[in-house]
Amino acid sequence: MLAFTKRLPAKPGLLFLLFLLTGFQVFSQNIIIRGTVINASDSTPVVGASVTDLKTKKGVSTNDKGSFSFQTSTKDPIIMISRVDFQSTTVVWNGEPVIVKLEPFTSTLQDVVVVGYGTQKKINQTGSTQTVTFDEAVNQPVTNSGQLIYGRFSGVQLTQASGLPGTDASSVVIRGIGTFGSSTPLVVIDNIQYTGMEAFNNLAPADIETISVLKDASASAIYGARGANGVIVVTTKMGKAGKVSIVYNNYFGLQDVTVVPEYLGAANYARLKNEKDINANGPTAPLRYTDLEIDSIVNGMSPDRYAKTKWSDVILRSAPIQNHYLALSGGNERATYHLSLGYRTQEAVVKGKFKSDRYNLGFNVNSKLNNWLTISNVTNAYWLRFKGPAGGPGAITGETGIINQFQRSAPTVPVYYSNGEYGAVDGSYLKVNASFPITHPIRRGYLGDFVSDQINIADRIGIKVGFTKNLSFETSGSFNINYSSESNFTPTNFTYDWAGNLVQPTLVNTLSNTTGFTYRLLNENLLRFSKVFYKKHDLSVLLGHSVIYNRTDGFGGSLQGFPSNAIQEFDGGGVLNPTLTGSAAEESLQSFFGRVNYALNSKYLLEFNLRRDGSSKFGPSDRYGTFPSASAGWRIGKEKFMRNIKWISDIKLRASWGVTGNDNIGNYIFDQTYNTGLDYFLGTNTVVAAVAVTRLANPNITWETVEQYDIGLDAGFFRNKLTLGVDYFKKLSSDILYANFPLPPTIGVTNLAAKNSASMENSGLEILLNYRNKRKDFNYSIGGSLTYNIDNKVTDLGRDAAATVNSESVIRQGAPFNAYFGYQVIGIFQTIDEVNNSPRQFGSINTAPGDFKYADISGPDGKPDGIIDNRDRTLIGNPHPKFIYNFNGNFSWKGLDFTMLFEGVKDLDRILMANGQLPMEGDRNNALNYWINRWTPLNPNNKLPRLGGQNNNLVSSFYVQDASYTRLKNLEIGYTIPEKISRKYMLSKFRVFIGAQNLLTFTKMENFDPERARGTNTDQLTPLYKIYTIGVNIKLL
Amino acid sequence: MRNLILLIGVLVLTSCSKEFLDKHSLTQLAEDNFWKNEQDAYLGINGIYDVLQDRVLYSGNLNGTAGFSQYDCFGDNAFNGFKFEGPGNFMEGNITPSHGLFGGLWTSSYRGIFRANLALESIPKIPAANIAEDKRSMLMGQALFLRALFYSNLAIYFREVPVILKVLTVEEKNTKKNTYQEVSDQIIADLTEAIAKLPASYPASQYGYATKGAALGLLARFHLYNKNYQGVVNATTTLMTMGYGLHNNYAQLFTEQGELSNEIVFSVRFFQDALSNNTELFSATFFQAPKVDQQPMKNLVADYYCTDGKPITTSPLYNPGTPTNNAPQKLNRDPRLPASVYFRNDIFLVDLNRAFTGNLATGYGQKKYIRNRASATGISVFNPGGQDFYVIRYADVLLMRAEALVELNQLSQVYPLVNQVRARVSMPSIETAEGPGRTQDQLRTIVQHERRVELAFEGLRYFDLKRWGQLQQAYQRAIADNVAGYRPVFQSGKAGVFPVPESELNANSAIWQNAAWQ
Repeated sequence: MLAFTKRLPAKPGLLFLLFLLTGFQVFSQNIIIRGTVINASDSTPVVGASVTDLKTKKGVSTNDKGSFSFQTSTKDPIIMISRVDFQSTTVVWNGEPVIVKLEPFTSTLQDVVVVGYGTQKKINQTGSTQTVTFDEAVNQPVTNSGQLIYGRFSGVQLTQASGLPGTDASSVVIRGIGTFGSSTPLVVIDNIQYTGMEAFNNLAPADIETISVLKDASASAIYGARGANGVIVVTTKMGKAGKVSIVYNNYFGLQDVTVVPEYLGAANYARLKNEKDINANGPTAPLRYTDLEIDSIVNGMSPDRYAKTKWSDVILRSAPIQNHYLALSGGNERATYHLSLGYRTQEAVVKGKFKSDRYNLGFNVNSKLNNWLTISNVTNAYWLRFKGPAGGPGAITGETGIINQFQRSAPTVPVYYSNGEYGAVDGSYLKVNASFPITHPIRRGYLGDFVSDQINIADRIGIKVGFTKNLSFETSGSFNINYSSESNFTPTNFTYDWAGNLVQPTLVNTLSNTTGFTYRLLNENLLRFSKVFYKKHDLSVLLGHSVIYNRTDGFGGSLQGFPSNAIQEFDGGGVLNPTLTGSAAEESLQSFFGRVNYALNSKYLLEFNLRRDGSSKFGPSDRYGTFPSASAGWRIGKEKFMRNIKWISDIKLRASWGVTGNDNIGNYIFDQTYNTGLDYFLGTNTVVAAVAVTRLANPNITWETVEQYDIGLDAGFFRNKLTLGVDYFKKLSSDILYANFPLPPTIGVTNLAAKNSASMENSGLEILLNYRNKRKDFNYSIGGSLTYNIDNKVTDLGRDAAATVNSESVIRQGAPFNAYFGYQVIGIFQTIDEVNNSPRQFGSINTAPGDFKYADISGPDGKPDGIIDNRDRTLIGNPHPKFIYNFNGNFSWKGLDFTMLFEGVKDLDRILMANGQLPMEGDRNNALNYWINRWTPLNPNNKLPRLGGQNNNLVSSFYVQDASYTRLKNLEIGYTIPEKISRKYMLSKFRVFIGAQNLLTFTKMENFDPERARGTNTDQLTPLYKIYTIGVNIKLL
Repeated sequence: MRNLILLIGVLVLTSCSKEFLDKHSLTQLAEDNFWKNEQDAYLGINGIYDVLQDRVLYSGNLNGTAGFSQYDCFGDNAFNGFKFEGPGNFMEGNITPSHGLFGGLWTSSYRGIFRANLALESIPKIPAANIAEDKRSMLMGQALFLRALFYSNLAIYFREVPVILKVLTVEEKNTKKNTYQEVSDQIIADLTEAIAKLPASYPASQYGYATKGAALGLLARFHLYNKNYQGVVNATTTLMTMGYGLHNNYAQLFTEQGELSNEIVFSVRFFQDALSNNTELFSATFFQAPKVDQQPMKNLVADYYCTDGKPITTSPLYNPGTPTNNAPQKLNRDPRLPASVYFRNDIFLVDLNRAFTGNLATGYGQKKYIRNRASATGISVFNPGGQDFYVIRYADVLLMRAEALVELNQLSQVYPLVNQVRARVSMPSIETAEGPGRTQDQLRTIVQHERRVELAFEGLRYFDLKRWGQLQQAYQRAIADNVAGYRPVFQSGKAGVFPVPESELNANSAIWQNAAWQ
C-alpha cells in the first residue's frame, strides 16, 4: 500500500521528479469510520456518494441506504463526502458514526461543467461553456438526441430540415456561421471525436448524462484545428455504486404534419394552365383543356379522365412512433457498470413503406484495479435501419419524390381509375399540349424495396495511472467503425391509363447495392497534474498527445434483368447492364496540446491552452498549425466589498481570447492530379480509359482559422435562486477556403481548387436567465435565453476573388454569408405604356402588363443604366436570424410534473420558389391556391404577377418570406405514483406521462413549416411533424 | 511499474512520424507520374475525345441545353418544342448571353482545346525509348485534328474567339479575341499538319480515332464555310480516293447498324453501356410522342420531292391528306422523308406497338437517329443510348464538292455527285427530274435542296443557312408554318452569331462582346 506523507519542497522544478520518486509506506493503527449520508433537502439517503479519507485517499461509496463504513489508518481523519450533483463537504471524524447532510446543487453556478478532456466547476470556469445535465427521470420523447439541445442553450441555432424517419436531424450552428464550408460543430461523445452530428443524433436519448456546448475559443481551443465551429461534448450515463438499478422507459406516439399546403383545385388548375399557355405562347398556343373538359371537371362527368384530386389528402397520414429503453446499472466501490438497450421505430407522415428502426447498445464499465490503476471501457453502438420503397429517401424528396407530387401531379388525375389501376394520366395526355404522366405518390410509396443499414460501433478503452494524488497519466485507444449498406430494388412495372393502355413500362428490374466502410482510430495520451500550493495557488496542468487515422471505402454496383421481382440479391440471376462504383480515401491527424489552469485564492482565475495540429489534408509545408487561447476570470462575489450585498450570491467576470482551426475541408487539394474517371469508346466494344486535368490544385492549402473574443458575466442572486449569464462575443474567421476566382472558360479548366483567402465575422450577445424555487410541495424552475446575433458578415473574399452567386444567394464582401440575392420587385406593370417607359427587362420584347417591374439598381458603370439585367440583382433577404430565443419551464407538485419548452427565431428570411410558389411554372406544375388572385386584365393587382408572363420566375424579393417563428417544441405532463403504492409492486418508481412535440407554432409563413433549411427546394423535403406521445418510466426496486 | 508506464507515455508523447501525415489521393494519378510513355499519351488523347461526348456538343439532350444534334432548330428545319433548351428561345429573340447554350458550347470547346494543347506540349517530351515515333506522330495528328474541330465549331458559331495554343497559367487568363482570319488560319494550319500525320485507318479495335479522311473532311467543310471553293475541291479530291462510299440503306445508316459503314468519315462514338460513361441522349425519345424537343417543320416536310423527282406542288403523285391526318403525305415521296419523319399513325415505339397520334405542335415527329425500341438489355428509349453521331459522312463530302464546283462554275461535274446521292435512295437523277443543261443558279438551288433533304436533323442546317446568307428567308419559312405557340422573330445580326457567354465576359478582362449582342 502506498501513501503520500512527505511535505513537498516549494521548488516547482523539483516537484515533478519527486512526484515520480516518492513512495513511502506508513504503518499505523486501523480505525473504522461509519456513517450515513442523507439529502439535506428531503432527508432521503444519498446512494453512491463517495466517502474518502483525505489523507489516505482510501474510501468507499455509500450503499443503497446511504450508509458507509471503511477502515483507515489515519489519526483524526478528515473525510470528504461528494457526489456529482451535490455540494461536497468534509467532516472531521470524532470516533462516533456520523450523519452527513449533503446539499443538492440548486444553482447552475455551482454545477460541474464538462469541458474538453475533463470537467470543471462552473465557479472556476473562465471560458464560455454551457452544460445541461439530464435527470434519468426525464424522458423527453425526441426522435433523435440532437433535439435535446432545443430550448436549453444560448448561442445555438438548430434547424430541422426534414421529417424523414431516421434522418430527421437538425443542423446545428454555434455562434453564427464562421466558414463557407460545413459549420457543423465537432462532436465529442465519451472522449471520442466525431465528424458530423450523426453519432450524437443516434445515441439513445435516455443514455445521455450531460450535453455541453463549448462556445468560445478558450473552451474549444483544446480541440484546436477541429474546434472552430464550436464543440458539443456529450457524456453518457455511468453506473453508480450500490444496488443494481433497472430502468425501463417507453413512449408511443402519433405524428402529424405541422402544416398542409393548399393547392389549386382541379378546375382552377385547368383554367390557370390554359391562361398561362396563352400568356406565354400567344393566342395561337395549343391549349391543354377545352371548355368542355373543364366543365366535366366541375360536374364530375368523366372521373377517369378529369378528376378532382386533392393530392395532399392522398399523400399524408398520421404515422406511429414508439421508443423503448432498458438500462441496468450498479456496482461497488471498485467497479461500476451501466448497460443499456434502446429501440426506436418510426414511420413517415407520408404514405408508403417508409420506416426507420434504431437499436442502441451502451455499455460503460469503470474498474479500479488497485488504488493507482483504473481501467474503463465505453461502448456506444447503434444500428439504424431504414426501409422504404425503391429510391429510399429519394422517393419522398427531390424532383420526382412524393412531396413534390403536391405540385407536380395534376389534380385532374384520379387517385384510382374505375378499372382499379393507379391514376397515371388525365384525359389530355396525348394532346399537343400534353399533360404529363404523374409519379403516383401512393404507388411510389409502395413500389419496390429499399433497405439501408448503418451500424456504428464506437469503443474506447482507457487506462489511467495515478502516480501520486496530484499526477496521473491516461492513455486511451478508441475506434469507431461505421458500416453502411444500401439495397435498392426497382421491379419491372407498368402503368396504364383508364382504358388499360400502357402508359409507361419499366421493362427490366434493377438492383443497386452500395456499401461503405469507415473506420477511425484514435489514440490519446494525457498527463494531468493538479495541486494547491500554500492553500491559495491552485494549479492544474494537462499535457496531451493524440493521433487520429481515418479511412473510408465505398463499393457499389447495380444489375438488371432478374428473373423475378421476388429475387433481390446479386446472385439471383440478374444478367443485364452491370455497373460498378467505388471510392477510397484516408486522412490522418496528429496533435500536441496542453492546458494550464491557475486560480489565486479562488478569486482570480487564469487558463491557457495551446494546441499544435498536423493534418494530412495539407501539403508538407503547411501541415501544422498552432492554436493558442487564454482566458481570465474574476470572482467579484468573493471580494470583501461584496459580502454585505446579501441579494447577490455570486458574481464573476470572464474574458477570453483564442484561435481555433477548421480542417473540415476536402482531401488532397494540395496535390495536382489527373482525373482518371474518364473514358471513350472505340471499335465495336472497346471502352478505353482516358485521363485529364480537370481541377487545378492549390499547393498552399492550409487551415481556416477563427479568432474569438468573449467577455462574460455569471451572477447568482437571492441565494442563487436566480442566475444570470451574459456573454458578448466577436468571432473573426480568416483564411476561409474560397474557390471563386473567376477563370475564363477559355483557360480550359474551370474547377480551381480553393484558396485560403476569405474572411468573415460574427458577433453577438447571449443572455441566459434561470430561476428556480420551491414552495412546500411545489417546485418550479423557469428559464430562458436570448441570443442576439449582432452581425454576420463576409468581410473579405481575397485578391481577385469574385462574389459567388448561387441560385438564390450570394457570397460577397460586406453582406451576410449566403444572403438572398435577386431582383427587387417594385410593382407590377399595369399598362403597355408603363412597360415601354420603364427599363427594358432582360432584353425581352414580350414583357407586358401583369409582369413584375424590377428596380434598375446598377449597370456596367455601377449606376442605373436603363436596362434590367443581372447587374441589377441586390440583397433581398437575410437567411440568418437576428434573434434566437428559447424558454423553458418545469413545475412539479407532489406526483405531478409539467415541462414545456419553447424555441424561436426572429428576423430571418427564407426564399420559397418550389412546390407551387411560382406562377404555374413549367408544363406540369400546379400552384398554391393563392395564385387564384393572379394579375389579369380584369383583376389588376399589385401583389401577384400574371401567369406565363416574362421573367416572373426569377429570384426576386417577391419570393422572400419572413420565417420568424415561435414554437412549443416540447410539452410533457407526468404523474408519478406515490412510492408507498409502487413499492407494493416492486417498483421504486412508476410514472406515466403524455407529451407533445411541435404542438404549437406561431408564424406568418403559410403553406409550409417555417423551420426549414436554407435552399431553393427545401419544401420538397419530408414535412416536419408534430408528435403526441404517451409513455411510462419504471424503475425496479 | 507506474514509472515505467510514465516513461512509455512520455515516449509516445514525443514520437512523431512524418509519413503518418503524408497522404495522397487513392484514386487519382499524380501529376509527376504522367506523360511518361506511349500508354500515357493514349490516355491523354482519349481525354480529348471524352470532351466530344459532352451533352452540349455531340451527345445532345432530351430536355436540357441543346447540343449540335439540335442545331436544325436554328432556322426552318425543326421546332424546338422545349424552347428553354436554347434554340426555341433564340429563334423567338428571347435569350441572353448567360444562357447555357452559349456557355456550354464555349466552355466545352475550350476544355477540349486545353486537353489538346496539353497533349501537344507533353507528347513531344516523352522519351524516344518509351514511344514509337510513328505512334507519337499519329497521336500528335489526332490532337491537332481535335483542336481544329473545337476551333472550327467556335469559329462557325462565335466567329471571333481567342486562339489559345498552349496551356495557360492562371496569370495568363485574360486573352484577347483573335480576328476571324487568325482563327481560320490556325484551323487550316492544324488540319494541314494533321492530314500529314494521320493514318487512313486504324485497326478495327481503334475504329473511331480521327483518320486522314476525317481531317480532309473537316478541312473541306471549313474551306466551304470560308467560300474557298478550290480548297474544298482539293480536299475532296483526295477524300474520294480513300475508299469511302454511300451506305446502301439510308434509313439503317442512322441506327447502330450503320455505325461502321464506309460512309462515316468521322463520328463521335457512343456506347450504351452502364459501366462506362459513353452514352448520348440525342437519340432518346418519350413514350407520348417522338422527340418533343426537335419537331420537323411543315416547310421541311414539304420540301422533299415525290418519287418522280418533282416537288409536291407540281407532282401528280402527292396526296396532301386531311387537316387531321397527314399520313398520306408520305406516300410516293423521296424515301429519305419516311426515313426521317414520322407521320400520323406511324408506329414510333415498335416494342409497344405505339402509334404517333400527331400530338406535336408541328404535327410531325423526328425519326432519323431516334430510337424506336428499348435496347436488347431493356434500357428504355428515354434513357441514354449508344448511337454514334456522324460529324462528317461521305454524302456530305459529295455535296460539299458539288457546291464548290457550282460556285467554281464547273457545272458538268456537279451532276454525277448529286446523282450519286440521289441514286442511293432511288431518286431520279438531275437529268431525269430537272433535266440536263441546268444553269449555275439552277444547280445551286438543286444542290442546296439536296443538302437539306439528305442532311436533315444532322445539325448542319444552321451552318448551311449562314453560309448561303439565307437566314432571314429561313425565319420567314418558319414563321409561315404557323406552329402553334411558336413565334420566331428575325433579328439581323443576332440571328447569325452567338454571343460571347457571360461566364467568359465576367472573368476575362481582355475580351469583348460581339457587336450584335452588345
